[in-house]
Amino acid sequence: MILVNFLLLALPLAMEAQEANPPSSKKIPVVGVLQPGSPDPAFAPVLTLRQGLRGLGYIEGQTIRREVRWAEGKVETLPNLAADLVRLNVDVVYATGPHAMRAAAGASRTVPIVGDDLEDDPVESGFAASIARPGGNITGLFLNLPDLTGKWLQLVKEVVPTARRVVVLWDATTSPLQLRAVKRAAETAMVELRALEVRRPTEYAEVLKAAMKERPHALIQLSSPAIRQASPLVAEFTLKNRLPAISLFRLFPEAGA
Amino acid sequence: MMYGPDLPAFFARSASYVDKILKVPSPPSFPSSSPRSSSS
Repeated sequence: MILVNFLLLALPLAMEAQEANPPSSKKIPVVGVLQPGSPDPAFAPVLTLRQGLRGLGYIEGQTIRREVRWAEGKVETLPNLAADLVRLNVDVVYATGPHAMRAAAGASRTVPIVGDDLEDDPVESGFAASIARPGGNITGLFLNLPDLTGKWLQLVKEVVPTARRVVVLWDATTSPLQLRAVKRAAETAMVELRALEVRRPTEYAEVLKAAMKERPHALIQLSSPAIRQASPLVAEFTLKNRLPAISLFRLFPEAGA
Repeated sequence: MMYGPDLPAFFARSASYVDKILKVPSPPSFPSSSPRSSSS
């Protein structure tokens, strides 16, 4: 297991977004929390937000309130859940993942949105005009995708120096930016890449099995909430088939891979 | 293998973003640039 800190893209706060905030009547500020998965208070983004706010001196129920909406894996319900939060007049929306980010961005151009989105590039995905002057109502942290995917391929080559054929698990319900970044990195690394598109959790086993016919040397898992969820299944598959594999998520080595 | 940033640390920074947004003073302290606020 390799764990390294590296470059993140932090979007500066766009102050003009604040104009939408009604002049506060000293009510308790409300954070709308928009989540793609099933209710799980221990889910890292939700837990760290709560702990982080507590660490900053907020007391839940007294100086801050949270309205949490879970899509329970049905990402198509996120736009309605986001609209719900906007109707409740929350002071800020915290969204996890690309689907929740898009839903929040689509629900309001004024309510400030803080996002943790591992799958998008803030500028290319249209969340910000530029890193320096984002404009709009969105801020948050994004990964440097070209940097990350390049590192993944580098690691694959370190583990399997002869690797020429690499398959890439890609959640096709996320933007193609990660895929594009890894394809560019593969060209540089002289590796032949094939994307395995998955859309539904039920497809993973079959798609992986079919991919083995091409005798891949390694598997790269791009990130998405669904791919994170599938970590145990993918771990079991790669162990059984002795396929070196890399993931962004700790859940993957924890599942034995 | 896994490789990537320390995600819990990554997520932890969001709380400070939320905090900053909640603490931003109300609009009059910024030069007004919105056509909406000047036209009404």
